[in-house]
Amino acid sequence: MSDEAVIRRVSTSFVPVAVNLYKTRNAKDAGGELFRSVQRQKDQYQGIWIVSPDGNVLAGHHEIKSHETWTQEVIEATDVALGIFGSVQPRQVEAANPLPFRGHGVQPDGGVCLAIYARQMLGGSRRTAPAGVAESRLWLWDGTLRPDGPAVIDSLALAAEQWSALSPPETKVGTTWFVPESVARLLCRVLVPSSDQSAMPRPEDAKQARLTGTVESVEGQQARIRLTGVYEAVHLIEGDATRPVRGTATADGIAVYDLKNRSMQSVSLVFRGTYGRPNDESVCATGAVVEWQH
Amino acid sequence: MKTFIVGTTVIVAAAFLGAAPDASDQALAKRVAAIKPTPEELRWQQIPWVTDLAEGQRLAQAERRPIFLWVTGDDPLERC
Repeated sequence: MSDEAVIRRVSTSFVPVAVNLYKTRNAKDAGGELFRSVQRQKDQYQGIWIVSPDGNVLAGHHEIKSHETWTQEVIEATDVALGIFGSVQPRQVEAANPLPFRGHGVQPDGGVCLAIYARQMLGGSRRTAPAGVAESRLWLWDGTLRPDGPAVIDSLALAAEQWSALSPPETKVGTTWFVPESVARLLCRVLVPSSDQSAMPRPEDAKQARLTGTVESVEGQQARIRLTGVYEAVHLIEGDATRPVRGTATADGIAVYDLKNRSMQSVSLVFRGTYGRPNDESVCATGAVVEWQH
Repeated sequence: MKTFIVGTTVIVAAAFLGAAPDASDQALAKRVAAIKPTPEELRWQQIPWVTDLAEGQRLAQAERRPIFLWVTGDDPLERC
């Protein structure tokens, strides 16, 4: 979807709509009704449907023939749709950030929205491989640290009380505190870098969720906080006991706390770990970033 | 959207480079850069997505043009 030709075609010829499968297919509103109608007309689990204004499916795309031809496949689907519908006037609408608070600022109710990125990784040196990784999988850490596949883009909303748990109880250097487990557990969603929410560990899946803060230094009006964590979660995909996925990670990061305003200025927490089936050596290396700034 | 992309970069700088960076900070910053999507990967955010299908249909009817409906198992525009 990041191909220039696709961006131009989608932006200028259509009303582009992006929705979550799990929410939309069960929604009781007009949008849910339209989606169910669309899915009945062209049966595909997810993907792209091109729909006339009155709700008739003009074209669809689900099965990717190959990543190399995906762009052309999408363009062809739009060609089919426009061939049926007819020509349209070029559309000129600027994209807006749908989540202005994602990773930025404190909302009026005192809550925040943390920005999350996660993905499979390769490289970085065998010395950085987590303990317990089988010898046969250590090659995953060979070479330069680099991504292995697309990033998952995610967010985590924290209520004011949950957000305050990341702040130090006092700002004397050396002060250490444990973030309440109920809050620490919320971050276990970063352990499995799948963009499909069905594979995302939920707070109740956490076997271990320990996040600790330590005031490392104070300079002027700012305290520098070291955050460290240890995580493990086992999630059943769609509740299916035969499809468990296990993620483990350690977390390390820095937060900056403003002493004068008694408020957090920035948080950046980096996870490194593995995921795969429990009791299976064939793990993949993972990385995740959780961040926010005032 | 440019603000969105630049903003996430600033967070890394603020957290790791605002104070005197040590070796571990630099390693973390390097890992952050490897994990986060590149601007090229985020170009799909340049598309003026609507996240409400009913609203999308209303716009399509008003503008007399089809809907390009993208449905995935995640929230394409984040999960928050």
